[in-house]
Amino acid sequence: MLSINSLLSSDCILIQPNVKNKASLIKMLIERLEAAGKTNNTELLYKDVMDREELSSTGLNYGCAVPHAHSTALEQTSIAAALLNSGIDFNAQDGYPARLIFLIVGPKDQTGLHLKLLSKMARILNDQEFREILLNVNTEKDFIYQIKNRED
Amino acid sequence: MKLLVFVLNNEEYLEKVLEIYAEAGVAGATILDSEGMGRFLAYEVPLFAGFKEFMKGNRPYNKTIISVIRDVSVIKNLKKNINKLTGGLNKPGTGIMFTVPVDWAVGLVPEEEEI
Repeated sequence: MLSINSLLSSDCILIQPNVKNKASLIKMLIERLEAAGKTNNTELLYKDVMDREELSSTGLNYGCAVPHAHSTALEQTSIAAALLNSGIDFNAQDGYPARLIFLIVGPKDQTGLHLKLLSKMARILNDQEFREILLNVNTEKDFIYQIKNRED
Repeated sequence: MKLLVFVLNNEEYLEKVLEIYAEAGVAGATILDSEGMGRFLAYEVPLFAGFKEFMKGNRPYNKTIISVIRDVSVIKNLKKNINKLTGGLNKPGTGIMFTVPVDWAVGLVPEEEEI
């Protein structure tokens, strides 16, 4: 069954990184994906994600954002995530800056999986109780544990 | 008695489709303007805007034709002619046709008034 936790490893999670804006956060997340061996073309991946950002907002309401892109810069769909102390602007409809950010990137031939992941992410992030739990974790391991717990 | 549902992706065929229905003996049908889920997500929900590039070539809107069929034997002929017209509903993006059983209905065109 499709699961977010199976595509997200603890080395691709940033807990309260020192980051000021969307572009630098996305760069940091992509660097984590590179370090985890998910991509070796960070420039192209960054460009594809930022091109998608140009298209329309990936900010969900309630301080969450799901930047994403289809890209030839990687062969498998991958996820990186960040929990921020103070939010950054993702142009969400409700105007709230995002503190929970999930970057979903995948090859162009995995659009079905991509669509399912985006939809699932939007659904579980709509759960206020779950958001509160995620916002209060202190470690990468706990972050993944809470996602797995919510998905099970 | 069956409910015949036909989602016709190429709206240009609508007139011909209705001629086929009439010829087959379908007395009445309701035609709805409709749109596919993919189109709606890609164009109406900002989160899914990135999927627009995968919608290229797809038709944004379609017609959904629903009709209660009293004499189910007409469906065979109707299906054959619809397939001829559209090139076959097995071709992706052409349309979807299905029936479901109807156990009761009221307000249908009386059989004697059927075309």
